[in-house]
Amino acid sequence: MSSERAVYRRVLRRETHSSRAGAAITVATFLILLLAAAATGCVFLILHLPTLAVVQATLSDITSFRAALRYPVLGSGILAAVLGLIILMIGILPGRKARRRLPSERAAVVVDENVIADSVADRVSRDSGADRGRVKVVADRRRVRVRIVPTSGIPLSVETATEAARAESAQYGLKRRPRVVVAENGTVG
Amino acid sequence: MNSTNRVVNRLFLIVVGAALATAGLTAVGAAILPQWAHVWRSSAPTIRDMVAQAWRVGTAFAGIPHVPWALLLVPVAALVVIVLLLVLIFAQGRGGTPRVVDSSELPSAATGRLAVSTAVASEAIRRSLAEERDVAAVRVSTYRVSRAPALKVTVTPRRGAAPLRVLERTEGAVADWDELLGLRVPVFIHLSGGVRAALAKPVRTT
Repeated sequence: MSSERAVYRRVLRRETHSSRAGAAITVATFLILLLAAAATGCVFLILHLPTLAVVQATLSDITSFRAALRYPVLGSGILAAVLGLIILMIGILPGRKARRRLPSERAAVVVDENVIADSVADRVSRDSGADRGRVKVVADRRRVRVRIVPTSGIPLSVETATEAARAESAQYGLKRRPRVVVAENGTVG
Repeated sequence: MNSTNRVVNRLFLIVVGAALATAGLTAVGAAILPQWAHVWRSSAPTIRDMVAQAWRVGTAFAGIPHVPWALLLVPVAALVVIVLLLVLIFAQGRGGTPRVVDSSELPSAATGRLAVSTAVASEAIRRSLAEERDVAAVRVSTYRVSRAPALKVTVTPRRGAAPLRVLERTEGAVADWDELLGLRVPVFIHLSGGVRAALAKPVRTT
């Protein structure tokens, strides 16, 4: 039996990274359609068997690579190369989910980064007096970014807002100083 | 927390992606580089001979006097690969289990069998959090991780609630459940942003 810690390590790694199930299913489905088409084509050929001469004529059209074929080959080649590289990258890149681990005595815990962003926005709005609807927060793996559109005529302290964002994000283990931007033009009302 | 085989998924994507990219780049090369086009053209007779050879080798099939083996083998091979791909597709996302404890899986030598349904855990944890106004939704499920059941508790904090307080309360609910069960099962807690989180990719609040 593996220890609880080992189970938690595994769960946390899996829950913070994409399983690539969607991509695998999509690619597999296209391959199935392609193979089914090839199989159907073969059955069709069996039922309407062309003579060897016809087959060879068709083949030499393709393999002689006449000028008329150049652009179709170029176009489908580019398409295949781009698609292939995208699929390859999906296979290789880590695929991190927008989630963050939190320490816990009892359980393995992750929190969605937008939940963190929400709570930072709440705190900034409460401490600085900025309207909650005008505080936008983006949280990523390293830090939070805050953007505030102030109400015209009401002073807003960037220091207070920054300190609020810092204090709140630090609770989630985000150690880097938040970037707080206050829009130059406020809104009325 | 499901048992999706991620290594297989990634290997599959890498192999298909690399094959497609190689084929595409070869086609592009043949279209724009004269040397590559030359290779393509000069290999043409060989390919034609190979196909002609394959075309001649055949058998009588379904009343047709001569059917090339190649035309019979390609659909069969395609069907085999299609079955493998279907296995890949349907192996995704498995691993859920309706039981959070099953004594027949425990190493003890006791006779008889005890099983605790996930619904019991779900009910207990929901009850503990029922009074909590900061919690918008609770979902409890069980997955097999490393051959043993583990609980997954997904909690959606209400907007404007302090997520860490919600986490504290959820850990409290898990402690209640531990006491009720008398056994310690691995627990995974997910503080979720709800459907919003899945739909809107960039993390954003207004």
